[in-house]
Amino acid sequence: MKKILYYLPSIIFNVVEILAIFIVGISLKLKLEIIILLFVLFAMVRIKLGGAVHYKNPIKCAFWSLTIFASLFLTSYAGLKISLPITIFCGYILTTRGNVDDMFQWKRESNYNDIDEFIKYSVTDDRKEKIKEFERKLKIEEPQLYDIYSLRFKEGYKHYEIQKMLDIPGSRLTERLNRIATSFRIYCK
Amino acid sequence: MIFQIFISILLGLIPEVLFFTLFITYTKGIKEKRVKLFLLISIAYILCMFIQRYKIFYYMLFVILIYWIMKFLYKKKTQIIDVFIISLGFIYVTIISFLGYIFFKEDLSNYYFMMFIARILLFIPFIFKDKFNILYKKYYSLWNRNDEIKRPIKSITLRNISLVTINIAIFLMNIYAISVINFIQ
Repeated sequence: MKKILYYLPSIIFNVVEILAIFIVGISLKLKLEIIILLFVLFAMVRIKLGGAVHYKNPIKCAFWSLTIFASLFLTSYAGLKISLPITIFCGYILTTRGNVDDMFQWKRESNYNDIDEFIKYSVTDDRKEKIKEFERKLKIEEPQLYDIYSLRFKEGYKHYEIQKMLDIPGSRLTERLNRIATSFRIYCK
Repeated sequence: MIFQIFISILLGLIPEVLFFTLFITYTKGIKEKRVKLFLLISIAYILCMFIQRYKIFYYMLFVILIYWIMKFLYKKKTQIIDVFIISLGFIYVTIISFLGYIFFKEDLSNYYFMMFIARILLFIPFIFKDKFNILYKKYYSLWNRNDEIKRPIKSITLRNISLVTINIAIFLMNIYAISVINFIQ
């Protein structure tokens, strides 16, 4: 019962969102079958591929969902031969499968570039010793922070990958990374 | 008939294929295999645009073929966002064609003149060709999610805007194609 009450607002929000999408489709004078077909196809593509990207803010989420579906419904005027592949393509792009590779080998923009470089380019023994000492202390005093440190700075995982692995919200992960970064800068630099 | 084919090649195929080749190479900063790219896009153009004009399906097929040609020639340098770059080029070509179409006289006495002007207008953006690669790199850098820094636009918002633009363009191209077919009939 508690679980149902916890999820109830988001269930109500999703139902209202789906109804709004259908209303948009009907107001564009589309057949109900086509609306259902495009909606289900889009959802299935994102579920099948996994890694669907979402907005945290429900209002932005609703706005962009309605906009994307409205534009997909408009493509159906050109025929299902056009709108079905376009729907699949939209579903694909809005997942992590639609990511691009780091082709230009730019330095990945980050607030922790200085720490990445400090660890990467430490050649002298005393620097390496400082890093090891920091890691040892972090592991003893804050094992959870050490896990995050290890995943981010030693194994090079991205922010959303660490989020998924450790199952923590993005904002909390950022806060913990900032704590680790501040401690590192004070201790090692 | 031969004259019409010759004009189609001179005022149709060559300028448009040249436009796509230059647009892709300047945007992505590519300096190799440009002649091969031009020739392969020409083949794709003949297959998609000569055989069946004013059908949205073949326009989409043309964009997909260009993407595959780039994948074949440039391998890992070609990324999924290049579909949006090719589509942007296509949208621009369609806008120029549409401008030519709205100024056609009913007796088509100014047809060749308008076609010629349209071909010149097609290459006007290349005045700013140095900016293409800069904008492309910016677009590329904003595509993947990165929660570690504050950005002017979220990755998901950029993707949504790109998709909505393409979808609306398809809708408008469909209207344009139908009106041109009606005009020809």
